[in-house]
Amino acid sequence: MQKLVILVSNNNLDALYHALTLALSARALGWTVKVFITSQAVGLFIRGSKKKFSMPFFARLFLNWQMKRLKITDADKMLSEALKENVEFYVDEVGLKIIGASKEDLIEGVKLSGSITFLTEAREADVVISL
Amino acid sequence: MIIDSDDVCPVVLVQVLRAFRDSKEGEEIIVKTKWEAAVQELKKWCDETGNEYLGWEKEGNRFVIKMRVSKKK
Repeated sequence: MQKLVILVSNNNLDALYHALTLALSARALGWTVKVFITSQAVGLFIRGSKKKFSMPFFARLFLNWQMKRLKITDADKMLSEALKENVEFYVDEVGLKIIGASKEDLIEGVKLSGSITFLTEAREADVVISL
Repeated sequence: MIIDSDDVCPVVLVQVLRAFRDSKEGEEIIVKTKWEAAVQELKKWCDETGNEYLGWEKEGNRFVIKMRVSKKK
């Protein structure tokens, strides 16, 4: 089975959206998919948190309006589909500590990891993408 | 099996995957979507997974893509 490893370090919903797009498509091909979340992007995986975006306010407002108008699937639904399809999500423990959160704050199904886990998984992967 | 969805491509792909899991050899999966790229994406999906791509047609402003399930691969 082929394997895709994605590293998301950008605290930006678009980076997460791209990661989820690629993760779901790879799962549709039957690939194993592991997504590593590091740096500030960790905040996107906190249960019940209001997601923070690095995009300017009005640009985000316009994008949200466009997404709604075109009925584009939102990131929350994509994330939930990805979890259902066994995409594995790993959150960097240091990043988690930096934002003052703990393992219990993570959304269900998300695991903790460090850089060794990422490196060993990336070494064995067929495709590695950094966003 | 008919998938009528305006979700973005990867979500449709997952729906196709689930339909594939639930289907028997030789069954048809039909996808109806507004996204034109799905025509090409599903052809590639068939190439990669060993399913048969039967083609597509336009129904109003929607794309109707037909595939036949093959569980041999």
